Amino acid sequence: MSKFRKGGKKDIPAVNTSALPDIVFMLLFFFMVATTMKEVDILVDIEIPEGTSVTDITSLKQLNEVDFLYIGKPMDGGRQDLIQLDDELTISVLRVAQWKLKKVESKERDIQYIVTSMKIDSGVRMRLVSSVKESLRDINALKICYAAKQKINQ
Amino acid sequence: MAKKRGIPEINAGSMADIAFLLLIFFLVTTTMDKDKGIIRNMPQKLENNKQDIIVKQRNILNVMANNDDLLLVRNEYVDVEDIYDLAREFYEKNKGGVERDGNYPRWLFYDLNTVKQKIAEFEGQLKESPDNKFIEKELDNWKDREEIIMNVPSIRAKGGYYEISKFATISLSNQIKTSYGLYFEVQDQLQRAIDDMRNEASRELFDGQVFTEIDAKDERAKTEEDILLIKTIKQLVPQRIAEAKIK
Repeated sequence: MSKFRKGGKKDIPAVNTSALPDIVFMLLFFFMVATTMKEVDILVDIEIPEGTSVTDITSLKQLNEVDFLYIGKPMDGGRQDLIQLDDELTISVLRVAQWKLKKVESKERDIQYIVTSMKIDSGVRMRLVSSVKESLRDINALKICYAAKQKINQ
Repeated sequence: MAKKRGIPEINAGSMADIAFLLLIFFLVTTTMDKDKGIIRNMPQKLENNKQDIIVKQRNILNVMANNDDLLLVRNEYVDVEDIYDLAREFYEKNKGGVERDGNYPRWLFYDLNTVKQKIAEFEGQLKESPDNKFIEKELDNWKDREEIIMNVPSIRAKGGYYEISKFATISLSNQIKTSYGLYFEVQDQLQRAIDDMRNEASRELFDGQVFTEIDAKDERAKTEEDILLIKTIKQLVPQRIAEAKIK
């Protein structure tokens, strides 16, 4: 009917993708700002407890003033609670002190200001937890943090 | 008509691919969850810590968690949720210096004269035995009190303030099979009780300022007033949690 429609089959025009990079960049920036780096791959099964009055230690983490250790049952089976120090699994609490001293070496601040955040499964028995704490106390790493989730309700 | 030839446009078609690649990298290597927890300072290890300190029963809130995850507070079985109220009761029973119950810690009034007297007293003692850590610590503590009375307007107006007995302590003990989950919940309840009391105190004395918010500030962002507030509130509502060695 109109003169624009003359002759031949026309393909559906391609979708304009010139704005795609912008969209992806936007997502990228969002994730860069809103997330923090994973410390390590976790090798133990951990369900950390929930608490109502927990403090946020993200700012300390960004200043590299927090070390993380994990205690729980290993993911690949095994019934004994193990301690994960970076990529190493151990039951020896003596290793905890050695590991902590090594971690602190590269940092500017004194060992007593560096927090040791302990992500411990709720089911772990206190015997292991106390001996880990005791071995940190021996080397004067006195600042510890019991990692927990914020309880959402009330 | 002859077209002017400029620099040819750069092909931006693969820009999206590059951005996607970066995006996926960040998705994989980062986590969303915030790191939160209860921060505790463990006491320093002392070499000769053999002497027993005798503290009156009224000044101790004994919290015990046994192998079967049962809780015992002052020799009575309780639920974890009760710890909050028990801790607050322990602190606040005799609040404001009124002796309501002899089984709970006393509150003492500190005015400028007593504090000054004590400072002079301890300074004299320190001269006699210069290296005594205990006296040094006491002296520092009294000096903190002096600072509080002098510098906090609302306390200065009253001429002094009430503080819970310095012996008042929450004592926490576990057994080897106590679960960490229970231990943490006890810690959490105690923390909540202390945080609430501290916030109430700071609202009252510092025009509605909230202690926990100010305390959570970055160390480098705290002003002098913030530091005074933190010092005062920590003196007024001390957090003394002693953990017994595991049995």
